[in-house]
Amino acid sequence: MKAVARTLLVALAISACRRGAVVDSAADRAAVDSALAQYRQAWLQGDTAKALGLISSDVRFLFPGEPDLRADAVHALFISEMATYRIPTLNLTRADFFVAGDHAVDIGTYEEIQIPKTGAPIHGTGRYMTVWRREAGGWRIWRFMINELPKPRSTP
Amino acid sequence: MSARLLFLTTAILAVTPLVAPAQVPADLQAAARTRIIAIAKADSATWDRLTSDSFTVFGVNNHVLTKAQRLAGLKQQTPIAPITPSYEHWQRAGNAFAHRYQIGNLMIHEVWAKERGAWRVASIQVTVVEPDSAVARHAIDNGNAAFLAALQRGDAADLASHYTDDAVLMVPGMPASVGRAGVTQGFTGFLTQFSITNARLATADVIISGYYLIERGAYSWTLHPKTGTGADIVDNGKYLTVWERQDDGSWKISRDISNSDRPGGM
Repeated sequence: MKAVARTLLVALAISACRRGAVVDSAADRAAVDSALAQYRQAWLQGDTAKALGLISSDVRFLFPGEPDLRADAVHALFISEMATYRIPTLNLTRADFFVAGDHAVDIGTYEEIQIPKTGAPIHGTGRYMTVWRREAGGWRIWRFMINELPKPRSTP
Repeated sequence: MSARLLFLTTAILAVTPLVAPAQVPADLQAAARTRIIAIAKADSATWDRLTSDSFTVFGVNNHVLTKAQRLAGLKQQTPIAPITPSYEHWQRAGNAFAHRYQIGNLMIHEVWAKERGAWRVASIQVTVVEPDSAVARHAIDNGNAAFLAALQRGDAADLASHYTDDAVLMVPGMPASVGRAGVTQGFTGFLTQFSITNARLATADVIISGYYLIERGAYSWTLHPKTGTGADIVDNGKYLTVWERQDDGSWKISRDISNSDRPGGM
């Protein structure tokens, strides 16, 4: 029934502006994909301002090993990370995506290589869930959580 | 014209009594049913035949569509399974009828009138009926309380019953558990290793978005290994949970991810 109602609402071409209304998810998916591509490029290019422009003012980053990061801490993190590292590799593999009203849930795995100015490259992998929010001016990251993937089994 | 039609729709609904289906002309009921099916099938010819040339859709947020605009959208629509409306009512006003029904969270009001000897829809008003946020929050709180109780009882089946059939549970360091069977298996494996005490969930914020509710919160618990001599693990962390409203109005967990605040994880 939910799918029918969603389709009907889309069919009736209800305005995308109303909070909570389900709208054209194909268009929303494309818009989120575009925002995600810009966000990824911002990290690859070390463009702090661009990356910060794609997160919500009410953002929370939920990383393992530390409490929630609020918006001010996320801003500081972006500035610090981009000043400290060059990121030549950031691969995202989406496993799941759906639009929920004015939010979109994106789940997948990531692989990242960070190269510090001195020292060995850092290779990171993990699982992510991002909640994007439709805001004035476009989709922005509202919640971002990662956790650890299973450790690969060692070969005997 | 649009304002007049909206006023007409509202006025008809306000001043006319409900009529039993038996008092609604059979050809009108058939036309209404045929038109709903035509929308589902993206059958633009039938829809066109049953729709007045002066037709107007009043969507949410003052979004208005003409017949030509709506027809263009219908022609691009992918057909879906036939729709069965609920809470269906008819009201008569002179030679016109108001037809009100609900599909999912959409309340739809149609005004039907005879035009050139056949029933046609003159206007439609669509309203999105959102879940009551207080009721939803209460349901989530109750769901979390029941979840904690099942966790401390070590009842994997009960824990899994809080998840949707296509849920994805992402526990740190473990493969994702997919579907209720996968979630049951995941909890069974975990609860074979540990018994749980002092479990707490603290909701930090929730937001309802369409059929979904997104909850952010913190957890704490003590894990007691069931085998070996390992010490208890006192852990705390955070979670991000997507709840999905079910057709019966209940809420179940659709996506669930968490991590530990402890450095190095669990």
